[in-house]
Amino acid sequence: MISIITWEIKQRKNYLFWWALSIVSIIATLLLVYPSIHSQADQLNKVLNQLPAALRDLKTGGNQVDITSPVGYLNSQLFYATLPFMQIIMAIGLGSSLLARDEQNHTLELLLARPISRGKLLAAKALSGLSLMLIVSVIGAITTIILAKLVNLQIATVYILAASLYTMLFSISFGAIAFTLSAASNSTRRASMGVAVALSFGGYLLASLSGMSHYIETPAKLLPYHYFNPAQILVGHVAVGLNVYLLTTAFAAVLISWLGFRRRDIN
Amino acid sequence: MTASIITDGLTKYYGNDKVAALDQLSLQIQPGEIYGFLGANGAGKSTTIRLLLNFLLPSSGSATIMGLDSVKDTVAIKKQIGYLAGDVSLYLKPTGRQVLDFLSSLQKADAYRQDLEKRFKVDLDKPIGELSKGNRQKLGIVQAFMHQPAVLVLDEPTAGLDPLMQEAFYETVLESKQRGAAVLMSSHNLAEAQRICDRIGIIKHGKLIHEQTMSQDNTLGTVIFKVMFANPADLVKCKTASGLKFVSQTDSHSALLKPVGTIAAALKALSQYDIQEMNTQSLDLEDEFLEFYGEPA
Repeated sequence: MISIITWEIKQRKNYLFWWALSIVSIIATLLLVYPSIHSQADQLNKVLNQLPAALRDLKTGGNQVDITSPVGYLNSQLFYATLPFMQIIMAIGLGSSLLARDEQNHTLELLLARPISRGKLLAAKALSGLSLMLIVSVIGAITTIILAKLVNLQIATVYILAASLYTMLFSISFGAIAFTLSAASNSTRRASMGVAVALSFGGYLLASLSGMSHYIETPAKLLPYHYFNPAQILVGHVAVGLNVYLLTTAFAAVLISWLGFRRRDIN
Repeated sequence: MTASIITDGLTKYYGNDKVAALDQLSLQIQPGEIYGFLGANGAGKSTTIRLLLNFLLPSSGSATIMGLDSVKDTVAIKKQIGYLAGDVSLYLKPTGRQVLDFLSSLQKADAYRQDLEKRFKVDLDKPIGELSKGNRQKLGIVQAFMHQPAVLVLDEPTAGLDPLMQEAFYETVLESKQRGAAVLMSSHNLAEAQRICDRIGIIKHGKLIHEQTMSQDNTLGTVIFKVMFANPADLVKCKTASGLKFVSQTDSHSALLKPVGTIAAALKALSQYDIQEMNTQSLDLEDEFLEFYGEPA
């Protein structure tokens, strides 16, 4: 199993490099402009808080924009949308391709012709995806911590680590949904990317705008983004709903993908 | 002696198809036997192979390999099996050496791997994506044989190989046979099957319609008539003539016919028709195949 994980990571080393570079660049760009934004924070806050609520909520998830506070800045500029978007795209890309690409290229047969069970192969593929996500997230977290110190964003390292960890887990949950659908059956495989994208980005729109209309308030509660509130995590509070969502998704992903993949035809 | 491969009523329906892709296949392949699995495209050869490898799950029936169930004991089976896919698919970016090293880490290969690499003159240091189809096929052969498996399942194994490499392949298969390995080999190359197989099975529309050994007591090598009729209507009539067995039609005026009973009786039957040209030839596997498929290949 270890050799499949290392093989998969080696196969994707260029992919890993470019994702890490992109995330470091985005974090660096957003944090390095903090000192100049901070010096004009009062005017910017006024302007941003005068924006239509719909636009503001897309950036903050319903929280007031307060660029003078480190938490407000990190939440609105990095952790609520920008970083999770990048990591979600990466996670869905991985989740929908880890098995499906090998299946399409018929290289899955090379592996399944060896003495390895489908369950172990599935676990190896999932672990290789998790490893890739972990590497990129750790690089992103270290970059954030170093640059936050550098630009004097006064926030405890442990809270930045917690926000980075939950952003990674939240992003991985959508990758897990894509992976599960691609593993479970041949018909769900085709829908894996679409469903994961709809749940993540569609959910983001609905959850962010749910305060605008009571018609979408209730359905938004069914969507994962409703429970993702990095502004709270950055002050040490993690919503129970987020933990429940993450644990439920992890459990369901393991169960459904295993049950489906071990008893389906390989095309 | 227990057969290395046994299928019993093995059947596969795809999705909601009402017609079986493989219908009640029952066959046995003994240790040290090379079994040629012949059939047209879509006849069910690859479905059979994919069922044996547990890539597909049977709709009904069962298969056992080395006494182990192909579904329940698939991991134990894979320790003893070598598989070469029809259109061999390998990772394209890494080199052949990297892929073989990776596959060896999943299924331990011994010094035989180096022998095979030399025998097939495999280019190990180029990315596989830059290799020709034939060179990729050679890598496919090495990965299938390198752990000296007790059972080999080979789907169109010589596709893309030049004649020299085909010879090397036959030598390798015969070595495996001498070791006692059972070989199931699907092929379109009937001359190849006739040359190295101990027994063949012909599959049509998912059903095994004919099996025969390739030893001297079979009909291969017997006389067959290639007849050109002056009148195409005679060709139709001769299909039901006594003393003759229609094998196949080669064009609008010509057919291959096999004598039933004595040659004299067959010639007497043919004398009723206006024949422009007639040749005799030995019945080979291609004619046998055409006889079962009833049309030119």
